[in-house]
Amino acid sequence: MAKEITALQLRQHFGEVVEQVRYRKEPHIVTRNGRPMIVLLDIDAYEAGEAQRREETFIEDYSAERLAEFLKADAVDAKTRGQVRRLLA
Amino acid sequence: MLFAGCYAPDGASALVLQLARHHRIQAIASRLVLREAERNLRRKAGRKAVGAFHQWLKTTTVAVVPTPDDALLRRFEALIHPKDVPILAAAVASGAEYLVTLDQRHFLTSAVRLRIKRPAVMTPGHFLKDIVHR
Repeated sequence: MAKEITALQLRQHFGEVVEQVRYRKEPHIVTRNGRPMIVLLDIDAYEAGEAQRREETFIEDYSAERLAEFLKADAVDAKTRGQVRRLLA
Repeated sequence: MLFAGCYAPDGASALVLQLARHHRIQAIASRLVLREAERNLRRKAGRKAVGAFHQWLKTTTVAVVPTPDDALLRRFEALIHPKDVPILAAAVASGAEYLVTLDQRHFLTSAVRLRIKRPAVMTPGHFLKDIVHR
């Protein structure tokens, strides 16, 4: 859960806030005039989020046509199925 | 392949997943592929298939590899559909012996076959034949 602090509080307690963000892994939302302006986030959490966002652009939402193609290509002949079952026994 | 393996229990993919669960093969999957499979199972296949996917993950040792950096991705850009570049790049970088896929349109092309010698790219059905004849 992110903590909210004002920009003034950040200026007054900068070292303490950095400590909480970095070592206690507590994100801080900095507000000005009551409005959220920026987020202070531990670098590991930021990089993990960036990696997720980057991956997001590559994720395919399978269409009905693509799913039909996949399922059609998912065949296995009876002989091979039997041989695999023996491997699994 | 992960989608089909959890959605269609009588298909070749389901047998591949069972081989991995029983330690007959070592499964390697990119984080991206796992996310893609789960999302599509949730949206298209329903609760039972999502449950089968989670159960497989719980009971199988899967080496999860991250999406490679942009420099590595660029090496594969000309070979394959842009959305599949990270999957191919991760498979090559992981040192996997096989890349098993049902995506014949993008992966089982002459360009990929000519340029990618390892991993061997094939459908689950062909992979199973290879495994039983080893």
